[in-house]
Amino acid sequence: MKVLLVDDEKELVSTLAERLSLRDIEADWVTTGDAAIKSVELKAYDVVVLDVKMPKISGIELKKKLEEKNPDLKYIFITGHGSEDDFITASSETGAEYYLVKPVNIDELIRKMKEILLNPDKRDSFQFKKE
Amino acid sequence: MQTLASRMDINGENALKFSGKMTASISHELKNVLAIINENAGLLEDLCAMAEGGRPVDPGRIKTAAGKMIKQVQRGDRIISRLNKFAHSVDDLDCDVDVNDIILLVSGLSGRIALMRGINLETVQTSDPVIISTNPFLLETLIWLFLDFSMTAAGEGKTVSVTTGKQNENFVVRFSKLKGLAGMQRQSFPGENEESLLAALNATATVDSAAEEIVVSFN
Repeated sequence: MKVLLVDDEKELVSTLAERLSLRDIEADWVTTGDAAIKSVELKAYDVVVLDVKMPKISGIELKKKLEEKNPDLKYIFITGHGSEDDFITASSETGAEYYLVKPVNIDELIRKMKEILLNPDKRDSFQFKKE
Repeated sequence: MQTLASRMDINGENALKFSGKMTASISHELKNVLAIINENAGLLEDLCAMAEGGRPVDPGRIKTAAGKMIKQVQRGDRIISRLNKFAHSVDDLDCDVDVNDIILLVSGLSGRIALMRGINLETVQTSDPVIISTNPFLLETLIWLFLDFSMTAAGEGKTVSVTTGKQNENFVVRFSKLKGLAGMQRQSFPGENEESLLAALNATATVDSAAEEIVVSFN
Protein backbone atom coordinates (compact mmCIF):
# COMPACT_ATOMS: atom_id res chain seq x y z
CA MET A 1 0.00 0.00 0.00
CA LYS A 2 1.36 3.42 -1.01
CA VAL A 3 0.10 6.39 0.96
CA LEU A 4 0.52 10.14 0.53
CA LEU A 5 0.03 12.28 3.65
CA VAL A 6 -0.89 15.94 3.11
CA ASP A 7 -1.04 18.44 5.97
CA ASP A 8 0.58 21.84 6.50
CA GLU A 9 1.82 20.66 9.90
CA LYS A 10 5.16 19.17 8.86
CA GLU A 11 5.89 17.55 12.21
CA LEU A 12 2.54 15.79 12.13
CA VAL A 13 2.86 14.23 8.69
CA SER A 14 6.57 13.42 8.98
CA THR A 15 6.04 11.52 12.25
CA LEU A 16 2.91 9.81 10.99
CA ALA A 17 4.85 8.69 7.89
CA GLU A 18 7.63 7.34 10.11
CA ARG A 19 5.11 5.37 12.19
CA LEU A 20 3.42 3.95 9.09
CA SER A 21 6.78 2.88 7.68
CA LEU A 22 7.45 0.98 10.93
CA ARG A 23 4.27 -0.95 10.06
CA ASP A 24 5.59 -1.69 6.54
CA ILE A 25 3.32 0.87 4.87
CA GLU A 26 5.04 3.04 2.28
CA ALA A 27 4.16 6.61 3.21
CA ASP A 28 5.34 9.88 1.68
CA TRP A 29 4.40 13.28 3.07
CA VAL A 30 4.03 16.83 1.75
CA THR A 31 2.86 20.08 3.34
CA THR A 32 1.27 21.95 0.43
CA GLY A 33 -1.35 21.34 -2.21
CA ASP A 34 1.11 22.03 -5.03
CA ALA A 35 3.56 19.45 -3.66
CA ALA A 36 0.71 16.93 -3.37
CA ILE A 37 -0.21 17.42 -7.04
CA LYS A 38 3.43 16.93 -8.09
CA SER A 39 3.74 13.80 -5.95
CA VAL A 40 0.60 12.27 -7.48
CA GLU A 41 1.92 13.03 -10.96
CA LEU A 42 5.16 11.19 -10.16
CA LYS A 43 3.94 8.19 -8.18
CA ALA A 44 0.97 5.83 -8.19
CA TYR A 45 -0.45 6.08 -4.67
CA ASP A 46 -3.35 4.03 -3.39
CA VAL A 47 -4.59 6.38 -0.69
CA VAL A 48 -4.23 10.09 0.04
CA VAL A 49 -4.69 11.18 3.65
CA LEU A 50 -5.30 14.92 3.75
CA ASP A 51 -6.28 17.73 6.08
CA VAL A 52 -9.58 19.46 5.41
CA LYS A 53 -8.19 22.94 6.17
CA MET A 54 -4.86 23.94 4.69
CA PRO A 55 -3.33 27.24 3.60
CA LYS A 56 -4.25 28.48 0.11
CA ILE A 57 -6.19 25.37 -0.89
CA SER A 58 -8.67 23.32 1.11
CA GLY A 59 -8.44 19.55 1.25
CA ILE A 60 -11.73 19.37 -0.63
CA GLU A 61 -10.43 21.55 -3.49
CA LEU A 62 -7.18 19.59 -3.55
CA LYS A 63 -9.10 16.32 -3.84
CA LYS A 64 -10.77 17.61 -7.02
CA LYS A 65 -7.38 18.48 -8.52
CA LEU A 66 -5.83 15.15 -7.56
CA GLU A 67 -8.78 13.28 -9.08
CA GLU A 68 -7.92 14.87 -12.42
CA LYS A 69 -4.40 13.42 -12.13
CA ASN A 70 -5.41 9.99 -10.85
CA PRO A 71 -9.11 9.04 -10.80
CA ASP A 72 -8.37 5.80 -8.94
CA LEU A 73 -7.05 7.44 -5.78
CA LYS A 74 -8.91 6.93 -2.50
CA TYR A 75 -9.14 9.63 0.14
CA ILE A 76 -9.25 9.85 3.90
CA PHE A 77 -9.83 13.31 5.33
CA ILE A 78 -8.42 14.45 8.64
CA THR A 79 -10.18 17.26 10.45
CA GLY A 80 -9.79 19.22 13.66
CA HIS A 81 -12.86 19.51 15.87
CA GLY A 82 -15.27 22.22 14.85
CA SER A 83 -14.81 21.57 11.17
CA GLU A 84 -16.97 18.45 10.93
CA ASP A 85 -19.88 20.45 9.57
CA ASP A 86 -17.61 21.85 6.85
CA PHE A 87 -16.54 18.33 6.04
CA ILE A 88 -20.09 17.02 5.91
CA THR A 89 -21.14 19.82 3.56
CA ALA A 90 -18.08 19.46 1.37
CA SER A 91 -18.14 15.68 1.32
CA SER A 92 -21.68 15.67 0.04
CA GLU A 93 -20.44 17.77 -2.89
CA THR A 94 -17.27 15.84 -3.66
CA GLY A 95 -18.00 12.32 -2.49
CA ALA A 96 -15.19 12.16 0.04
CA GLU A 97 -15.12 8.67 1.43
CA TYR A 98 -13.66 8.63 4.91
CA TYR A 99 -12.72 10.99 7.69
CA LEU A 100 -10.79 10.96 10.95
CA VAL A 101 -10.68 13.56 13.71
CA LYS A 102 -7.36 14.81 15.11
CA PRO A 103 -5.50 13.52 17.07
CA VAL A 104 -5.50 10.49 14.80
CA ASN A 105 -5.40 6.94 16.14
CA ILE A 106 -2.92 5.15 13.87
CA ASP A 107 -4.65 1.78 14.17
CA GLU A 108 -7.93 3.39 13.13
CA LEU A 109 -6.19 5.10 10.21
CA ILE A 110 -4.70 1.84 8.99
CA ARG A 111 -8.04 0.06 9.43
CA LYS A 112 -9.75 2.70 7.29
CA MET A 113 -7.01 2.57 4.66
CA LYS A 114 -7.42 -1.18 4.32
CA GLU A 115 -11.20 -0.90 4.34
CA ILE A 116 -11.25 1.76 1.64
CA LEU A 117 -9.10 -0.39 -0.64
CA LEU A 118 -11.14 -3.54 -0.01
CA ASN A 119 -14.54 -1.82 -0.21
CA PRO A 120 -14.11 1.11 -2.58
CA ASP A 121 -17.83 1.96 -2.58
CA LYS A 122 -18.22 2.12 1.19
CA ARG A 123 -18.27 5.49 2.96
CA ASP A 124 -18.19 6.68 6.53
CA SER A 125 -21.53 7.54 8.03
CA PHE A 126 -21.56 10.88 9.79
CA GLN A 127 -22.42 9.72 13.27
CA PHE A 128 -21.46 13.00 14.88
CA LYS A 129 -23.80 15.10 12.77
CA LYS A 130 -26.04 17.28 14.91
CA GLU A 131 -29.72 16.41 14.83
CA MET B 1 -27.61 57.84 11.87
CA GLN B 2 -26.96 55.20 14.51
CA THR B 3 -28.49 55.60 17.94
CA LEU B 4 -26.40 54.72 20.99
CA ALA B 5 -28.57 51.64 21.59
CA SER B 6 -28.22 50.33 18.04
CA ARG B 7 -24.49 51.05 18.16
CA MET B 8 -24.17 48.99 21.32
CA ASP B 9 -26.10 46.14 19.67
CA ILE B 10 -23.83 46.24 16.64
CA ASN B 11 -20.69 46.42 18.76
CA GLY B 12 -21.86 43.60 21.00
CA GLU B 13 -22.61 41.40 18.00
CA ASN B 14 -19.25 42.18 16.41
CA ALA B 15 -17.42 41.49 19.66
CA LEU B 16 -19.17 38.14 20.01
CA LYS B 17 -18.41 37.19 16.41
CA PHE B 18 -14.77 38.23 16.90
CA SER B 19 -14.55 36.19 20.08
CA GLY B 20 -16.03 33.13 18.36
CA LYS B 21 -13.76 33.46 15.35
CA MET B 22 -10.63 33.71 17.49
CA THR B 23 -11.50 30.83 19.82
CA ALA B 24 -12.40 28.61 16.86
CA SER B 25 -9.03 29.36 15.27
CA ILE B 26 -7.17 28.81 18.55
CA SER B 27 -8.93 25.51 19.20
CA HIS B 28 -8.01 24.33 15.71
CA GLU B 29 -4.38 25.23 16.30
CA LEU B 30 -4.38 23.49 19.67
CA LYS B 31 -5.79 20.38 17.98
CA ASN B 32 -2.75 20.40 15.71
CA VAL B 33 -0.43 20.74 18.70
CA LEU B 34 -2.12 17.77 20.39
CA ALA B 35 -2.03 15.76 17.15
CA ILE B 36 1.74 16.25 16.83
CA ILE B 37 2.33 15.33 20.49
CA ASN B 38 0.09 12.30 19.98
CA GLU B 39 2.11 11.09 16.96
CA ASN B 40 5.45 11.56 18.69
CA ALA B 41 4.26 9.85 21.87
CA GLY B 42 3.01 7.04 19.63
CA LEU B 43 6.39 6.88 17.92
CA LEU B 44 8.10 6.54 21.31
CA GLU B 45 5.74 3.66 22.09
CA ASP B 46 6.58 2.07 18.73
CA LEU B 47 10.32 2.38 19.41
CA CYS B 48 9.88 0.90 22.92
CA ALA B 49 7.98 -2.03 21.41
CA MET B 50 10.81 -2.53 18.93
CA ALA B 51 13.41 -2.51 21.72
CA GLU B 52 11.33 -4.94 23.77
CA GLY B 53 11.23 -7.21 20.73
CA GLY B 54 15.01 -7.20 20.56
CA ARG B 55 15.32 -4.82 17.60
CA PRO B 56 18.01 -2.15 17.89
CA VAL B 57 16.70 1.40 18.34
CA ASP B 58 18.72 4.47 17.42
CA PRO B 59 18.74 6.79 20.47
CA GLY B 60 18.70 9.72 18.03
CA ARG B 61 15.14 8.82 17.03
CA ILE B 62 14.02 8.95 20.66
CA LYS B 63 15.78 12.26 21.18
CA THR B 64 14.19 13.74 18.04
CA ALA B 65 10.68 12.61 19.04
CA ALA B 66 11.12 13.99 22.58
CA GLY B 67 12.44 17.26 21.14
CA LYS B 68 9.39 17.59 18.89
CA MET B 69 7.10 17.03 21.86
CA ILE B 70 8.87 19.69 23.92
CA LYS B 71 8.60 22.12 20.99
CA GLN B 72 4.85 21.51 20.71
CA VAL B 73 4.33 21.92 24.46
CA GLN B 74 6.07 25.31 24.17
CA ARG B 75 3.88 26.18 21.18
CA GLY B 76 0.76 25.16 23.10
CA ASP B 77 1.88 27.26 26.05
CA ARG B 78 2.24 30.32 23.82
CA ILE B 79 -1.23 29.75 22.36
CA ILE B 80 -2.82 29.31 25.80
CA SER B 81 -1.04 32.39 27.18
CA ARG B 82 -2.41 34.44 24.28
CA LEU B 83 -5.88 33.02 24.83
CA ASN B 84 -5.67 33.87 28.52
CA LYS B 85 -4.65 37.45 27.74
CA PHE B 86 -7.52 37.68 25.26
CA ALA B 87 -10.00 36.37 27.83
CA HIS B 88 -8.83 38.90 30.41
CA SER B 89 -9.29 41.81 28.02
CA VAL B 90 -12.91 42.06 29.17
CA ASP B 91 -11.89 42.56 32.82
CA ASP B 92 -11.79 46.35 32.53
CA LEU B 93 -14.21 48.12 30.23
CA ASP B 94 -12.22 51.34 30.36
CA CYS B 95 -8.53 51.46 31.16
CA ASP B 96 -5.12 52.56 29.87
CA VAL B 97 -3.78 50.18 27.23
CA ASP B 98 -0.69 50.10 25.07
CA VAL B 99 -1.93 49.89 21.48
CA ASN B 100 1.31 48.06 20.61
CA ASP B 101 0.28 45.24 22.96
CA ILE B 102 -3.20 45.08 21.43
CA ILE B 103 -1.75 44.91 17.90
CA LEU B 104 0.61 42.12 18.94
CA LEU B 105 -2.21 40.20 20.61
CA VAL B 106 -4.66 40.49 17.70
CA SER B 107 -1.91 39.68 15.16
CA GLY B 108 -0.97 36.62 17.19
CA LEU B 109 -4.58 35.51 17.51
CA SER B 110 -5.08 36.01 13.77
CA GLY B 111 -1.89 34.20 12.79
CA ARG B 112 -3.52 30.95 11.72
CA ILE B 113 -6.33 32.76 9.88
CA ALA B 114 -3.71 34.78 7.99
CA LEU B 115 -1.78 31.61 7.20
CA MET B 116 -4.92 29.95 5.85
CA ARG B 117 -5.49 32.97 3.61
CA GLY B 118 -1.87 32.96 2.42
CA ILE B 119 -1.14 36.32 4.09
CA ASN B 120 2.07 37.34 5.79
CA LEU B 121 1.34 39.58 8.79
CA GLU B 122 4.00 42.13 9.66
CA THR B 123 3.85 44.37 12.73
CA VAL B 124 6.03 47.46 13.02
CA GLN B 125 5.83 49.16 16.39
CA THR B 126 7.08 52.35 17.96
CA SER B 127 9.77 51.91 20.57
CA ASP B 128 7.71 54.00 23.02
CA PRO B 129 4.41 52.72 24.40
CA VAL B 130 1.26 54.03 22.68
CA ILE B 131 -1.02 54.50 25.66
CA ILE B 132 -4.69 55.37 25.22
CA SER B 133 -7.62 55.14 27.59
CA THR B 134 -10.21 52.87 26.01
CA ASN B 135 -12.22 49.66 26.11
CA PRO B 136 -9.56 47.02 25.31
CA PHE B 137 -11.96 44.36 24.03
CA LEU B 138 -13.72 46.75 21.65
CA LEU B 139 -10.33 47.98 20.47
CA GLU B 140 -9.28 44.39 19.74
CA THR B 141 -12.53 43.89 17.84
CA LEU B 142 -11.90 47.03 15.80
CA ILE B 143 -8.31 46.02 15.00
CA TRP B 144 -9.54 42.59 13.91
CA LEU B 145 -12.22 44.02 11.58
CA PHE B 146 -9.65 46.30 9.94
CA LEU B 147 -7.11 43.50 9.76
CA ASP B 148 -9.69 41.17 8.22
CA PHE B 149 -10.55 43.73 5.55
CA SER B 150 -6.84 44.51 5.02
CA MET B 151 -6.07 40.84 4.36
CA THR B 152 -8.78 40.79 1.71
CA ALA B 153 -7.49 44.05 0.24
CA ALA B 154 -3.89 42.82 0.15
CA GLY B 155 -4.75 39.59 -1.63
CA GLU B 156 -3.37 36.06 -1.35
CA GLY B 157 0.38 35.70 -1.11
CA LYS B 158 0.87 39.30 -0.02
CA THR B 159 2.01 41.03 3.17
CA VAL B 160 -0.17 43.19 5.41
CA SER B 161 1.80 45.63 7.52
CA VAL B 162 0.33 46.97 10.77
CA THR B 163 2.19 49.98 12.15
CA THR B 164 1.62 52.14 15.22
CA GLY B 165 2.72 55.74 15.39
CA LYS B 166 1.72 59.38 15.76
CA GLN B 167 0.13 61.73 13.26
CA ASN B 168 -0.97 65.30 14.04
CA GLU B 169 -0.67 64.66 17.78
CA ASN B 170 -2.99 61.63 17.53
CA PHE B 171 -1.97 58.02 17.94
CA VAL B 172 -2.60 56.06 14.74
CA VAL B 173 -2.65 52.47 13.55
CA ARG B 174 -1.71 52.11 9.91
CA PHE B 175 -2.73 49.07 7.82
CA SER B 176 -0.52 49.25 4.74
CA LYS B 177 0.79 47.39 1.67
CA LEU B 178 -2.84 46.83 0.63
CA LYS B 179 -2.12 46.21 -3.05
CA GLY B 180 -5.70 45.48 -4.03
CA LEU B 181 -7.28 48.39 -2.16
CA ALA B 182 -7.71 50.56 -5.26
CA GLY B 183 -9.65 47.81 -6.97
CA MET B 184 -12.15 47.52 -4.14
CA GLN B 185 -15.26 49.62 -3.72
CA ARG B 186 -14.19 52.33 -1.31
CA GLN B 187 -17.72 53.14 -0.23
CA SER B 188 -18.07 49.64 1.26
CA PHE B 189 -15.42 50.25 3.89
CA PRO B 190 -15.56 51.26 6.68
CA GLY B 191 -19.06 49.81 6.86
CA GLU B 192 -21.69 50.02 9.56
CA ASN B 193 -19.84 47.60 11.86
CA GLU B 194 -16.55 49.48 11.72
CA GLU B 195 -18.20 52.91 11.98
CA SER B 196 -20.05 51.83 15.09
CA LEU B 197 -16.84 50.69 16.77
CA LEU B 198 -14.95 53.78 15.64
CA ALA B 199 -17.64 55.94 17.24
CA ALA B 200 -17.54 53.96 20.48
CA LEU B 201 -13.75 54.25 20.63
CA ASN B 202 -13.68 57.93 19.62
CA ALA B 203 -11.60 57.11 16.56
CA THR B 204 -11.72 57.87 12.84
CA ALA B 205 -10.54 55.97 9.78
CA THR B 206 -9.14 57.17 6.49
CA VAL B 207 -8.92 54.93 3.42
CA ASP B 208 -6.16 56.01 1.02
CA SER B 209 -6.22 53.82 -2.08
CA ALA B 210 -3.30 55.66 -3.72
CA ALA B 211 -1.08 55.03 -0.71
CA GLU B 212 -2.50 51.50 -0.40
CA GLU B 213 -3.27 52.02 3.26
CA ILE B 214 -5.97 52.56 5.88
CA VAL B 215 -5.21 54.75 8.88
CA VAL B 216 -7.16 54.58 12.14
CA SER B 217 -6.65 57.68 14.28
CA PHE B 218 -7.49 57.83 18.00
CA ASN B 219 -8.63 61.27 19.09
